[in-house]
Amino acid sequence: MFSQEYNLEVLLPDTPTGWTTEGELKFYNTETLYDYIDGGAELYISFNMDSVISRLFINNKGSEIRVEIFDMQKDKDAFGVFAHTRTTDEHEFGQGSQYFTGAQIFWKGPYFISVVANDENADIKKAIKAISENIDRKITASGNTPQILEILPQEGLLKDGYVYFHHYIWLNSYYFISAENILNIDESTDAVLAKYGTKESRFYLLLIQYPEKEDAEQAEKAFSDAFSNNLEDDDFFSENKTEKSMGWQTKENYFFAVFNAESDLQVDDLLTKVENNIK
Amino acid sequence: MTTKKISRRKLIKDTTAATFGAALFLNSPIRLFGHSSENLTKVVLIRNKSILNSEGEANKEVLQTMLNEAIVKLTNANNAQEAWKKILTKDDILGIKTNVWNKLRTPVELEQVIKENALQVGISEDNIGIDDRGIRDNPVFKKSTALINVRPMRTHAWSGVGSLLKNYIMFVDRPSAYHSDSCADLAAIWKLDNRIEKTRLNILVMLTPLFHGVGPHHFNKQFTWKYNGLIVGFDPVAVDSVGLKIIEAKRTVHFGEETPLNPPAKHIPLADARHKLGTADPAKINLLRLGDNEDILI
Repeated sequence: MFSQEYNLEVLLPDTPTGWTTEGELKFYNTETLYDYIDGGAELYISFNMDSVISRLFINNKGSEIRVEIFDMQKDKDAFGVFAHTRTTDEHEFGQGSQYFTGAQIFWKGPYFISVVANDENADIKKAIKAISENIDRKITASGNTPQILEILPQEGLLKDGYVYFHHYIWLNSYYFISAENILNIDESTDAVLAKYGTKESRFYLLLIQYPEKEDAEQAEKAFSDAFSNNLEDDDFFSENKTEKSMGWQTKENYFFAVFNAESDLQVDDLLTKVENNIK
Repeated sequence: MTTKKISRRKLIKDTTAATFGAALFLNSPIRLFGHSSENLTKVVLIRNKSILNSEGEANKEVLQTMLNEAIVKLTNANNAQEAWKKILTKDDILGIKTNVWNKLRTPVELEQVIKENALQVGISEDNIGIDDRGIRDNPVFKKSTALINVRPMRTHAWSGVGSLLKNYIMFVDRPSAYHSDSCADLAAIWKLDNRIEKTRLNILVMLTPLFHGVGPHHFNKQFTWKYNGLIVGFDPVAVDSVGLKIIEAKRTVHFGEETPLNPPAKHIPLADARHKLGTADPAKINLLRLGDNEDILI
């Protein structure tokens, strides 16, 4: 149940002043997580979660704060879960964090941490901050973001506008590409989807690293076949009829594609930059 | 390097075609659902700004009025009493399939409104059950002749949205058996035990929908908004499809650019294209709007 480096329990925060623990400490693994998170378990399992510990704090005003520490086993998967949710990295805790109303999330090393209250007020915000700082201090490990991110061209890349994954379900995180796993994304692949340009003129880069060059070429063929159908323009997912450019290529064991670009030139430019970044 | 000029619509079409086949979104429901004279599937969206008080609680009287107006429109009845009698009979054994997820549950007031109308039709109280997670053991549900399906729409970490289609997952022994491929085949549940035939009405609660989820429990009040609406219809696929469009539109407004659901709510189009359960294509839905139009998003 526990990672080699840490026992999850020792990472739990001290009880904030004015709060008490409520109920039993709870542990879940991939088999039992379904009982705990109604409908959300698959997200964590798709990023190779090993186990999670959960503790509830309450105060005498009826407020609750639920702390969850997920052992994702690998740094890149802790980052992946975090990036899946964050819209902007505020860098306040751990190696990346974001605060939402009454909720703090962050990642550090192989851990993803969620501190969520049932409400928001000054007391709650203070306690969430204290809890987050405490956990942050207790996790001494530091992790690395996925190596594939280093290939992303920086020019035009939206700050924090990228997600990392290795399950095909997350292929459409920013832009609808396919409802099916046409690119054979699985445990053995690393993938990143990134936003470029502006809100008014957004285009997207998909980059996938396969185990072997042959895998990338096979994916390229399947992708190319999927886009060679000669069907009538008639669907209901989108009303947008604007013609856009897309393009794709492979290099070594990488497949990469640009979607929704304003022109072929824009496609070529980004593909070339990716190609140059692949050593 | 391969480049290709392609329209957004063509892109989506191409990448779905391989699986869905040429009959994509062709409407061939297993029964007729409230079709209008133009052979479109009828769905009613009703909104009322006074439905929620400052605490966010639903006003039961307003709910009653909204629901009655919606079903009168849906059934082409002269009044609410007549409309309910087109939906239920006094001999029915009625299961009201609600949703009790504690962060955004079906309003109790709405459950009661439905029950009171069923009593008005003449169904005995013993033959009316309201349940969610206990439906498999509920004696009323076990012998039910009629079902009314009512739940709020919310984004969902794995299925894209929690929908009317998804609300029937509690009928199965092992819900996780329907989780593969982001719950793509939830519609199959509706074909078991005559559930589609038994379902007399579908009500998608859009009072304060969740349009984006964060954290392990996928809920944050920051990502709900007062839409003040109910979507009502006979066809669960069509009602879900309308709700989905509103959620997608809200995401675009909130994030300032098109922000697709992640993952896509593929179980809704597949309920049409693969399972022929109903109509998902908005072009084949006759959406009737009642009440407030401001920020209607569809």
